[in-house]
This record gives sequence, structure tokens and C-alpha cells, in this order.
Amino acid sequence: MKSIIFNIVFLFVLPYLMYGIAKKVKAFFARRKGPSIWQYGYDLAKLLRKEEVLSDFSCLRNGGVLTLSGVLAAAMFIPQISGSSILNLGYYDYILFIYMLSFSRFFTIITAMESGCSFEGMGSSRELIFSVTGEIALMMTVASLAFYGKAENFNGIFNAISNGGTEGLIIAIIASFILFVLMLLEGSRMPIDDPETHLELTMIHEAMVLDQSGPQLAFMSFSGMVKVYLFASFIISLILATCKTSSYYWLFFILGIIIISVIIGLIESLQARLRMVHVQQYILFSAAISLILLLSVIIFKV
Amino acid sequence: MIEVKNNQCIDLTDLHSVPYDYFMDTAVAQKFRCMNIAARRNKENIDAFILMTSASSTLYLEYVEFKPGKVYPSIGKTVPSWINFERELAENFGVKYADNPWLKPIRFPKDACHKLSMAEYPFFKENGSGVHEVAVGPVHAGVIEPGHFRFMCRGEKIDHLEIQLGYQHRGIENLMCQGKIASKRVLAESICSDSAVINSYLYFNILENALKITVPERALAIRTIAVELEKAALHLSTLSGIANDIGYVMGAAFAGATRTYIINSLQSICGNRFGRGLMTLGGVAFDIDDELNSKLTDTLNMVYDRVSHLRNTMMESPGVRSRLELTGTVSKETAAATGFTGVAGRASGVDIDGRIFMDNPFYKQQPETKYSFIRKGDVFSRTCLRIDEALASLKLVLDILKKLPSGAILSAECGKFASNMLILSIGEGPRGEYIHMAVTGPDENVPFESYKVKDPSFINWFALALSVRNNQISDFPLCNKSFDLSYSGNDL
Repeated sequence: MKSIIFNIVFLFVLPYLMYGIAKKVKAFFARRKGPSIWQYGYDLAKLLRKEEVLSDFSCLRNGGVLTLSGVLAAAMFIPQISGSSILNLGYYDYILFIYMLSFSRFFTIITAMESGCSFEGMGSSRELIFSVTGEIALMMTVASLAFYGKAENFNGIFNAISNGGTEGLIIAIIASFILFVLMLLEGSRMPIDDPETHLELTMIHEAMVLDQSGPQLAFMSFSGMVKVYLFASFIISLILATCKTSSYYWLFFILGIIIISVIIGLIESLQARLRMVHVQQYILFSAAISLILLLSVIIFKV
Repeated sequence: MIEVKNNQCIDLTDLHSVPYDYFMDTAVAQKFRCMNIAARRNKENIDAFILMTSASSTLYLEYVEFKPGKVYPSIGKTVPSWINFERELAENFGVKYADNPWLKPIRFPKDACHKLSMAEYPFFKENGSGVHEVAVGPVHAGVIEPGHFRFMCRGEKIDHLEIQLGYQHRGIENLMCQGKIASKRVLAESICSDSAVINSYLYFNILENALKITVPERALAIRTIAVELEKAALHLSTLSGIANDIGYVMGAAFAGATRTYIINSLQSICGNRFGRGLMTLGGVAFDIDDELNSKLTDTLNMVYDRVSHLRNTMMESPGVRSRLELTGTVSKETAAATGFTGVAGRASGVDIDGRIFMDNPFYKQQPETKYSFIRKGDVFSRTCLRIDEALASLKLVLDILKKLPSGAILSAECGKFASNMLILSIGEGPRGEYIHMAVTGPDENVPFESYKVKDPSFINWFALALSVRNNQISDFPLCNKSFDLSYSGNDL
């Protein structure tokens, strides 16, 4: 019970802290002071207090809520700061995890399309094209992890990695790499999408929330942050499983979160964004690695 | 047709009008590039003074009378550099063209000759499956001026872009002809605020020619310094914008900070970061003393190193190059035919440089330009060219500062205002070829009967529309920034 509360509390703190740290790193490279690392939290609080502007013709008024609900449902199954997940279904929660993310994406896209705005239409089509490939990569990575551990849920996966020795370590590292790329995709971070651009024509995810305002926008933005946090948790859990850490797990977890946020910040500061036609190749590349991972697990394990 | 020189006063009584058909045949046969058309109403007719240049950069002036009600064949149909000037004449004076390919209002002011609504000039439409229309602006998300862009896209690919401007129209040319001449410096500086120096430079050139004032050498040196600093500042601000558009944070911050050093240098000369108030009739209002000279030299040397560093780091970064190379290409043929000037022309390999027309001794000493890249007309070429030109400008400023001529900064003599003259003033500014033309009135109460300004953006907006064809729509902001054209300079 204590660990569940612990997880839930940090689920609402760490996501925007990650964004705050990444922003701070970016500011450092631009020789700027940068906003406080809590700024994203303040922004969300501000948006929640704001009034919502809705078109008279809109029929889907709760897109943000639906999107966030999907992401929060996915958050139930990933082990977080306490080392265990909030909810333990027992069977095939990893499949549900992937589907819950798709559920939330579906509602983001449907909300964007509903506005009838050409920018949002373009954003939706880009998001779909890229996440279709991303989903393949995620599915194959999770499948290879599950196959490796003959696991029926996330706990089984981490137990198998933990008991796998060198083999487990290699698989964990390759899977972490793929998950990192997918994290950038889901969180619409650089080099796939530029979260800070003001240019509507170059946006992917940002373009889809152009017409959202107030609490709905807060929910949309927060769900993006939570997605990054979930993927980061997935990666950290994999890495920590190989180290067999049990005492001070939460401390290592927070350290991992900070390291991942700094890496995101570094990528955003040192690299130019990819050309839109190259984004697909970038994600396909991670899908290709996940296919290799899956095939090698099948070949060597059977 | 007479051959003219820059800064020349041409007596209007010496000019004789030629029939339009005869003029058109020569212009089309010789493929003259139209530089500017100054026009005025003469009773019922419209007097047009057409400034053009041949391929060998000789300036020609032609005087044509347009009669109301008569329909003229278009030169722009065969020589594209004329299209916009014909549109302008049609809009401002009601000249009728039979076959101009795109006779749409440029600025659409309320008192335009056509009493039609804007809805009667529809945007270019394309039909077919998968074709969709994207409208951007006139209100944009960034800190840029208003302008409307209408795309016809096929998926992510742009088929056609139509640019509709005019939201910044303030009637500069009419205001120039009204009221006292003393207040017009401020007006010239506000034609386009980031090229305030070059516009006031050309404006005072016209006045000084009309009053037969010779500018002292020291004043000319300080004017040249300001023009070149302004050019370097605009190039760096564009570089910062390009880096920002591709999400290259470090480049954006570095170029932006470097630009601040340059505009602060301008501020230390004249008290304004955009060089406003520096020029005055017969010279400059602010001198550069020895202390300021050494301070400027130190700052600009440091800026020079920083810009070279930008060339060696940002332009060699693989991520940056992959975004910039072969994006938004304008071919040399297109650039030459449409008459793009400045960065837009030179990056495509068209060597049009307004400085050859300027009788400024400091430009005569300039060595021939060496390009540090292959001129392919893409965003990469334009970005590299901007760095090259910023470096050349800084080098010239440092050279002038080293050997700053002594003497007065203001001319003491002043002649009588020349009436009934056509005065030309051509210069190379940050965006390309700037041209001011003035027709002086019969007496001193009406100093100008007509004042015509041409900002290079007026023609170069075409370059943007052509460059994005068959490119990804997500690359449009990058192409736009690489040209960095002026909205207010076009709208006047």
C-alpha cells in the first residue's frame, strides 16, 4: 500500500521535473539562465486554472481527459520509483500497456482531426505515420523481452533479466536503446519533433494541440510528459534489474531519471532536428534493431 | 533610351517619350532587367521613367507615356523580372496590361485604381485527389511581420505557394511627396527598420544630388561603416533564425549574441542600435573619435573571430548540413530571368551586386569575392553566403577604421534645389539592391513630385515562392528564413 502511494505521488511530480531538467541543460548550452526546473509544473497549474475556449461546433470536448486517462492507465503496469508497479494484473499487462498508449494516441488524433484545422490535420497524419512504425518497434521489443523470460507480465520480464547474467544485461541494453528512441517519439522530443518551435508547419505533436486550451491543454501536455516518464521508468527498471539493486532503489531510480533527462537535454542542445523525411528512417532503424533482438532471442532461447 | 549613371540628375526636359511598342521590342530583345519604375500623373497620361540594366550592368533610362484606357501588351510575359513592376503600375496608376501572367494587387491600398474587392482575385487553385490547401498567416506565431502564404500541397509536398502581402502598407511613397522635406529622414528610416541605414543613405544621396552637396570623405567613411555593420547584423540575425528553425540551440544563441555586439557597435556610434539618426544632410551627425575607434576595432575583431568560428562549427555539423543542403533550391536560370538580387541571386550564381553602381571609393578597393562553397542556390548556399558576406563586411569596416580619413563630417556648401529633375540612387544593402528614384517638382514648395522606393524584397519574394516547389512543407519555414525578406519593405 505504501509503495502504491509512493508511486502515485511521484507519478505526478517526476514527469515535469524531467522536462524541467532537460530545459535547464538546453539553457546551459545556450549560455542562458533558463527557467526553474519546476516551471513545467507551474505552467500546468496555470493552465488548470484557466478557462477553456471551445468552438460551438466541437463535439469532442474531452480529448485531453481521454488522452490522459489512457496514459495513466498505461502507467499502472510499469514498475516505478518503489520498484513495483501500481497495479498487478498478473497476466499480459505488457500488451495492455501498449494498447493503452495507442488508446491515448487515438484520442489525441481524433481531437485534432475534429477541429478541422489544416495544421492539425498535417500533425495527425505525421503522428500516425511515425507512431505506426514506433508501435512495431515497441511491440517487438516487449515481445522479445517476454519471450526471453517466458514471462506473463512485467514482473516476470524483470525477474528474468535480473537472473539472466550477461545475457540479460545485453538484452536490457539493446532494449533500453530502442525504448529511448521510442521515448523521444512518444514525448515528441528532438531530433524527431521540436517541442519549442513556433513554426506550425514543422510541428508534429504540438500541431495537434493548437486548438486546445485551459485544462484540456494541460491534460494533453501532461500526458506527453507522463509518456516520457513511463518509458524512462521502463529503461531504468531494465537497467536496475540487471544490477539486482534492492536497498535504496528509489535513490537509484531518481538518479536514472536525472541521467535520462540530461541525455535528452544534451541531444536537444547539440544536434539539429532531423528533416521530416528522415524521421521515418530514424524510427525504422529502431524497429530494425528490435527485429534483430526478437530474432536472436528466439534463435538462442529455443 | 539614354545611358545613365547612379546619382545622376537627369533633366526632365531632355527626356522624350518613346512609343510603348518600340520600347517593348527593345526591352524584350535585349532581355533588360527592370530595376525600378518611377511614375507620375501628367494631366491624363501617366509618365513612367523606367530604369533598367543590361547583362553587362549598364544602366538605361527610358521615358514612356501611358495613355488611359489603352491596353498594353506585357513585357513580364516574356521577361519575368518585369511582372511585379507591371503589377505595381497597374495597381497605382491603372495602366492596363493585356497578358501579364499575374495581375493581382501587390499591396491593395484602399485608394487603388481598381474598385474591386480582394475576393475577385482568387488564389491559385489546384484540383485532384490528395491535394490540400494550407493557409498560413497573416498572423504568425513568431515575432515576424504579417503576410499570408497559401500552399497547394500534395501530401507533405508543396506544389505551389502563393504569397499575398500588403498588410504593412503605410503609403511611404505618397508621404514622401507631402509636407516639409525636413521630416523625411525619419520616414526613409522607417521604410524597413532593419535596413534603416541603407534607406537613409540613399535618401540623402538624392537630396545631396538635388542640392549639389559633396559629402566629405570622413562622413562617407562613417556612412559606409554603418551600411556594412547593418548588413553584417542582419546576416547574423538570419543565421540565428536559421539555427533556431532547425532546432540547433547553440548556433541560434551564439549567432544571436554575436549580432548584439554588432548592433551595439552601431549604438556606440550614433546612439541607436539600428543606426537611426546617424545620417544627416551633407554628412553624418556623429563622429568616430580615436577612443571609440579603438573600442570598435577591438569589438569587431572579436566579432570577426566569432563569425569565423560559426562557419567552422555550425556549417560543418552533419546534422545542420543534412537539413540545409539541397533544400529550397533556386536554379541559376530562374534567378537570372526573374532578376533576384542580393543573397537570393548570388547564392544561385547570379552576380548582381549593387555596389558596382555606387560611387563609393571604399567599395572600389574591395577584392573580388571568393566563395567558400559551391553556389547551388539551396538553403546551405544562402547560409554560407551570409557568413561570407558578414565576414567581408566586418573586414571592410575594420579596414576603413584603420585608415579613417580626417576632416569634417559635415559639408558646408549647399546649392539651390534642382527642380524638374529625375534623380537616381542605387545601393547594396543587407537584402540586395535598394533603389530610390525621385522626380523633383517645379519649385521648392513641392520638393518631390514622385518618390519611388524599391526594396529588394519586392522581387525576391518570388524567389521564396519558387524555391519551395517540390519541397517538403515542413521545410518552408527554413526556406523562408534563409531568404529573410522584408514585409514592410515590400508593402511600403
